[in-house]
Amino acid sequence: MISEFEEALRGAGFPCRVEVREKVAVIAWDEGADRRPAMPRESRDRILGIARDHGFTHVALELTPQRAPLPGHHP
Amino acid sequence: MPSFRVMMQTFMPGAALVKEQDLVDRLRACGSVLIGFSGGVDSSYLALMARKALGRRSMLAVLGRSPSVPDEQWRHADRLAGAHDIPLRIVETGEVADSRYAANPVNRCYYCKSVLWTTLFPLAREAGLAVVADGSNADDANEYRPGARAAAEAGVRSPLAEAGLTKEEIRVLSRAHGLSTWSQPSSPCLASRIPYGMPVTMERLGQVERAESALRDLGITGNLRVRHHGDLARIELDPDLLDSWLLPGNGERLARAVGSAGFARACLDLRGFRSGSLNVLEGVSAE
Repeated sequence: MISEFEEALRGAGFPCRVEVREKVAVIAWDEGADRRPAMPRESRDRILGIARDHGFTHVALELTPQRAPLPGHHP
Repeated sequence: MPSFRVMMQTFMPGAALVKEQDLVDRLRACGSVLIGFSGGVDSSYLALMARKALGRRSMLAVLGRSPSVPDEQWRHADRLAGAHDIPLRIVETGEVADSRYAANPVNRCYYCKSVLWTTLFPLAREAGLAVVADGSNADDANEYRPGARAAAEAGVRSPLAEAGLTKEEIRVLSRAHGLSTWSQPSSPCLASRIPYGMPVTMERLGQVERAESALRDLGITGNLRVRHHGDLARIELDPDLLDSWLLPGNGERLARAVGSAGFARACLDLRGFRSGSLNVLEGVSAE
């Protein structure tokens, strides 16, 4: 489910990795959250829609800058 | 200058005033009442109406103080009671020491409220107060509230709900009565930030309280929750604040703020604040 969700996000133009914590999908931009430009409402709605299609009710954006690869990440 | 009653009738839906009169009648019929008081929107309004309907000798507001209640919340409740001449007593409740509560099952609130009412009923008897009441309103019946079962089992009355008063009506009426709580966001206990199944500990409650305080210090207003996911803090803000807090650089400010409370990582919920978020996550209630 995670890899399909991640693929769908990438396909929609959101290059990121996905980790799941207590059923929350946490996404981190490939290039680092701190270098990503602002995320407008339309982009958030699109991501939330894709998440719903993959069974996630909660999606959050990683804020911690320059994180190493996510320990719970399942490619 | 128009009378207060005329002003209320001018600016307030008539239905709310009718319900308020019903509430006053119900409180008078009680004779005397002890109110489980949190300093939130509902119990503050109920306490004020009981004070007006019964007088200060026939009512008592009791605040249960515990690590799951932020310090600022009980201090605010104390100030509010003083400002409106509401008799207030603060008692320590030890729900965190109850292993059934600390295990954090989906019905955690049942155990918390059981401890609270078990503490408050003897106080009511000692004070000679006939009825113990809480601030549940007419909207609460639509939500998942295991705490309501504990209240029902203990014989707690809910005069606001009995009078059919909704949250919105209580806010309008509170404003008319000069209660500062009228625009106050809902403030459920800190344990509501910890996912079901993750034990409620003093350390985690303290982390959440410090993280939310640090975020408030950044100027964040309105609804705010820090959900505890171990080393990861998930921040929920009102949706209309997301655009600005997702601007470059602001995410780091949020991360630093919750980092000061001991969270190694931070994330921002892309949908924003929603009441009962962890209930939705666990499938306990619908989106």
